[in-house]
Amino acid sequence: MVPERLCLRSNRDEVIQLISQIRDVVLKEKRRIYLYFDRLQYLEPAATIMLVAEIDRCRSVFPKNKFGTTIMGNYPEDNKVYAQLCEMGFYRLISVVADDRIPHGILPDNRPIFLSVKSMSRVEPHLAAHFVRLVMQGAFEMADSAQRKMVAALKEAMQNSNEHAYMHETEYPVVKRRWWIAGHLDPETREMMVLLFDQGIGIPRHLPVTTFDRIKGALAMSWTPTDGHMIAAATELFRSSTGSAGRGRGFRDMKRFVDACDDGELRVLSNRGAFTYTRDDTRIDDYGDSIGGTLIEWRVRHSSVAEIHGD
Amino acid sequence: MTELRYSLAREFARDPGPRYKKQGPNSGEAFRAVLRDLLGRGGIVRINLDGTSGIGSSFLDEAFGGLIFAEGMQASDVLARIKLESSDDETYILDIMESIEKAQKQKKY
Repeated sequence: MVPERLCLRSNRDEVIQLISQIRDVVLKEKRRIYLYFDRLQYLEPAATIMLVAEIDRCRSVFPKNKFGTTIMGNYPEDNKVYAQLCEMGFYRLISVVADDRIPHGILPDNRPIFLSVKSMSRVEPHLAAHFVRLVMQGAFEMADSAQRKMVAALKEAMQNSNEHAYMHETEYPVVKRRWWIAGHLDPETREMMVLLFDQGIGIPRHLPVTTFDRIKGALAMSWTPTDGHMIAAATELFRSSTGSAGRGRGFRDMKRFVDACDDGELRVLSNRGAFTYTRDDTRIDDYGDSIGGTLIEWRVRHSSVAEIHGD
Repeated sequence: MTELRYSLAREFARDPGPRYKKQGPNSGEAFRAVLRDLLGRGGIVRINLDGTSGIGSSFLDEAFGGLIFAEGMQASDVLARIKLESSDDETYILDIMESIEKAQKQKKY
């Protein structure tokens, strides 16, 4: 049963439990699963992209067993939820024939524009540039230099989802190099949000341990860093000239937008950890269970022309 | 000494891509092959980085740092032969210099 609130912020445990259950039933036990959407009342884009990704993976790895399609489900009773799933490209991505017509008046005219979930296996640089043009049209204006920074940050994030995520073997079978992107633009509040998700090994496992060990050694620290600490460190590090590790400067540029604009947040969840960055605060969290990959949620709101200066 | 001028946006790609060829089009690895060819002609190579939609640091690292860590060149040769221009974003040049320096350091040890 899909929970009433598909939301990582307010209902993380149930969301992770649902996704783990899908994964275990289909990928480990090789059985079919039926998802009941009846109770679903609220959809958070971050949790939705994870659910879509899990269904997409399961249907790619084990599309059918001898009894038929491995993942099936019903439609939500709530029309707004159904409409939002349609707008996010949920049904299209998982190849379910749905009545895509959204009943008139169900959704407010000034609602955010969802950029439907895309499943990718390569880095398409024009996609980053296209997204930034959409931000300019649907959220806020940017100076030329800020546009280039945003494009570069998105390309780096795509690069990481595609490359580092799948450097080592993962616990569950994956579609190698597969990652997902989605977003929304809100002309009313002049806000943009982009989400990237991969089902790879997670930042804590591909961050060069030597880097953290050096910091620990210098500070005579004895404790082992948690996943949350490793993610926080990854957002500060740039490297690598060996080409084998490091996450580039994508996070740095994302943080600069958060700092320079009216409001914003960079939230990175990876394995059991989470790191949240706002202009006034940073927060590290650790949980008992893993999200099974890395999710980046980057949100920026700005009411005038965004400018990002210098380094 | 002869000087070759090359525009990244006009002659390679307006949308520079990821680090490796296997990851997608217009990669840093592919651009490194262009740089290698240009350097093979002798003289100074002047690269203009303006006019792109935005360049990721991994692209720059693989293209320019890669001349040292993948092609075996010395940083001093690269710095003597390649001249960089960017009025769009000076951090591109800083990123490239950092990549070259770090690649050389890692090569030594």
